[in-house]
Amino acid sequence: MEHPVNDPGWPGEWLRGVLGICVLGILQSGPTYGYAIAAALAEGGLGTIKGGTLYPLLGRLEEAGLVTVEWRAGDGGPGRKYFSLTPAGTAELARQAAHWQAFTEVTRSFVDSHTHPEESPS
Amino acid sequence: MTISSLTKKWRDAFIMELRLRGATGAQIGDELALVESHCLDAGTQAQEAFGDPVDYARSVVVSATGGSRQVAASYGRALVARTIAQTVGLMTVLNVVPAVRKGGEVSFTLVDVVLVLILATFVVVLVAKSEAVMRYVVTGSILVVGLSAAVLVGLLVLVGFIPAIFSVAVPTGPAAAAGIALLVVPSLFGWPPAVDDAIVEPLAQEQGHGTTTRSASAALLRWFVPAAGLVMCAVRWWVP
Repeated sequence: MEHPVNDPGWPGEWLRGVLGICVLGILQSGPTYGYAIAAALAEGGLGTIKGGTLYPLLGRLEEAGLVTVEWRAGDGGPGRKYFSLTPAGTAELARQAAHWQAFTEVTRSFVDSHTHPEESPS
Repeated sequence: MTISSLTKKWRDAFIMELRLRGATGAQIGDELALVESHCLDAGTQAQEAFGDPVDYARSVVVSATGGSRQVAASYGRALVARTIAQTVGLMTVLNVVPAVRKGGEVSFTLVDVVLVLILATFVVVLVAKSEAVMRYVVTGSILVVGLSAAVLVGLLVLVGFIPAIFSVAVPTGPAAAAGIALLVVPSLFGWPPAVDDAIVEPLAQEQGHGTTTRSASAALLRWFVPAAGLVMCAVRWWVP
């Protein structure tokens, strides 16, 4: 299946699993707003994340106490809603990052032999 | 003023679904501003960035804090009590009218008791399951909703055929006083106080849009039952 250059076409179930930790990782750099988060995700190679996917996730993070929000006035229009990590969010990011690191090491042990078949034991 | 990225159709459907899910006016205002802000930054329309408004509204986190839940529950109970009180008051004064006309005492029969029980049950269900009822009325076909209303009215008419197994006579003066008090006092004191739940943008400096309209409509709602009672008593007096 062909995908546009700027859309790597990651499977939806993969994205659903990692989007939360990726968003927390972006927020670690400081408070930012939704469109900027989506742009950072796209530039980082995750592809286009639509508002309909991103904002419910941000709402769940806020409900869980991992982020706080603040509306800031812009140049006309409705302003922008800024999201920032709470101390609990920072701790959760560290926990998930370590867990994810361990998980990827496990999955790579299954996958690596298939990406380099000349290296498989058989 | 920038052009909105939300079409009226998208916006209305989004607001309706959030209301049905119990979102407050402030929450709805926050979500609307979020959608519009994102679309302005992305240079796109709401349908493209957020998809179907009803589906998106169902994915939004609608959180009622403990305090607001308690307020809503308390308001619901007060509304049920007021509605039942005014219904009993209305039925009482409607029974007083023929008694005054003919001279004699006011009589209450099994029909009156059953009617009050049915209406009280209806009001309790309406308030307790308001989201489900509203969703049924808003999303159901006209035929189904119309038939449901017809069945309810038919049930109330059938009650009138219940035999007068017993009859309780009450002096006209006390019955009239009690009926008028139950009917008028809740409206006179504006009880329970109306909840102002207008949709407000998060950065809005003023919240005055539509205040006059809300006050006029609130007054109409507040005095609707006593006014209806007055009209019904007049009809009963002139058309016995």
